[in-house]
Amino acid sequence: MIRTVNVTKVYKGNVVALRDASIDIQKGEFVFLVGPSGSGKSTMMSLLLREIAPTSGEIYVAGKNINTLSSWKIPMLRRNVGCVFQDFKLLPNKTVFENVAIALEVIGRPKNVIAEQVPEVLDLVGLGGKGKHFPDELSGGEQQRVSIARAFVNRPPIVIADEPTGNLDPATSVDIMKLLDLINRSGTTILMATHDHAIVDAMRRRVIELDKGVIVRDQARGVYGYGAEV
Amino acid sequence: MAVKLEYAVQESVTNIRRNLFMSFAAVLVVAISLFLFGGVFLLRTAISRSLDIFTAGVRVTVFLDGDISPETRDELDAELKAMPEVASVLFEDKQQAYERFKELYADQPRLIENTRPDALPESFRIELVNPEQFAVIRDRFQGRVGVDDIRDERQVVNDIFAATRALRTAALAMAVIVGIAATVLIATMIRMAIYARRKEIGILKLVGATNWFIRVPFMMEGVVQGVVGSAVAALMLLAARPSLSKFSTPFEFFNVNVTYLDVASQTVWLVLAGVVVGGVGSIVGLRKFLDV
Repeated sequence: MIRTVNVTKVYKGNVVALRDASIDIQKGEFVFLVGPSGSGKSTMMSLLLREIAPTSGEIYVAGKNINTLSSWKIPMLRRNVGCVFQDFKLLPNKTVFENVAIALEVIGRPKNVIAEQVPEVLDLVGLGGKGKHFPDELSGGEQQRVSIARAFVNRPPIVIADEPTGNLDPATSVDIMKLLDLINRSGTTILMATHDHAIVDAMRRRVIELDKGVIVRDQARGVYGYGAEV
Repeated sequence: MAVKLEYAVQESVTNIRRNLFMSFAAVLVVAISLFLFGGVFLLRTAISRSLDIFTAGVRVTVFLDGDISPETRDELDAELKAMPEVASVLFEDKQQAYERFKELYADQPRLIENTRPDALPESFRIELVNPEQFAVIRDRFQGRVGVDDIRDERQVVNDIFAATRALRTAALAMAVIVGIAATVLIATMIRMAIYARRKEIGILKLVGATNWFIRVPFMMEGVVQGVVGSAVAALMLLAARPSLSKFSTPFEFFNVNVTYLDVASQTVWLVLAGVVVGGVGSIVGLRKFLDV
């Protein structure tokens, strides 16, 4: 589903964000990308969305080489990859319903389909009946649920989440993880960047660890701490 | 992918409503700019028309010697009629000159009594294609056999042309300056409006929106603002019409009259300008932000 081959990303001023990173994630996997700040997690996420291009190496997402993607096809790539961010990235002047509906409007779904699918996914994330609220009327955890609903409403094969629990308290984080786990169980591949030890240790899923742009560990059913294999 | 019209319309309406202040500011900028631009052009149109009306009657008159032979006269007539600068040539004999003389000095009966038709010269009364070209006639016929004098009312006409040319040039220069200022202002306005919503654009791109999907609502918004702004400008011009008509010239007899029709035809152009400025401004303003 997601495959990178010897990907290197060098920013201006010879800052090496990723070096020779090769990962291979199968359909339906739930993978944590861990590592300290500046280890290259966000760079990896940006590369997968083709917000930036790699300096060298190849990236395949949903079976397509996204390096050679012409710019007008980038929107099609992004429709296959739902994304969730630490800061939610909701539109403050749109209601919860509208925020989620955007993802469907963008792919040209008719109004009646939107009217049906948005409440459905809001129910799924536990926000049934909150469609008319504006984001700032919701708690952080609820806002993150909206953003997950938006990422998932068009049923993409892949969801990537960049520190989705970074702004949330531990209890709320657990709820968010349960939600992501639920989505994963429906067959969606999930790649989640995080440095939340408790979550990684509790979930016991595949862990890929980055350190200074290099993959130092790729372990099935891992925990956060380096070398703490079971 | 076809951009759904319904989405785009709804989106632009919602955006205008929710960003009412920005929209209001944009409309105001468009209105004031187009009002200034339109006012200058209205004035220019009115001045040009007044000038056309005034100069339409201006003729160059070639007075003939009393002893000119009919052959020379016919030669001159033919030569004048062959000139491309000449629109029409009218020969005026002594009797016709006398009739005109009587008309001209109708308030001085004694002068008419004391003048006999024989004392008046024959003349060619020439209408020019372009009233500014009378020098061509003078240079060619001055001092020719049979030609007594060429009167071209040059002084009066020259003065008017000089004054109105300066006026028209000034008006055009003003219009250009105001136009440039308006464009820059509108572009800045749109850029500000878009900058305020760059986050929204970024999110739309992240969920897989095509550039046109993002562009169309912004464009519609810009066009609506442009149209509303130009309509306001037209109303302002309508209100300013009497003042524009009072625009003074150095000549008492030379009136500038801005008509309702002028304002109406100007409005068509203003609305077109509003549509173009709003639409193109949005595309240009967006370009930088679509590069995600």
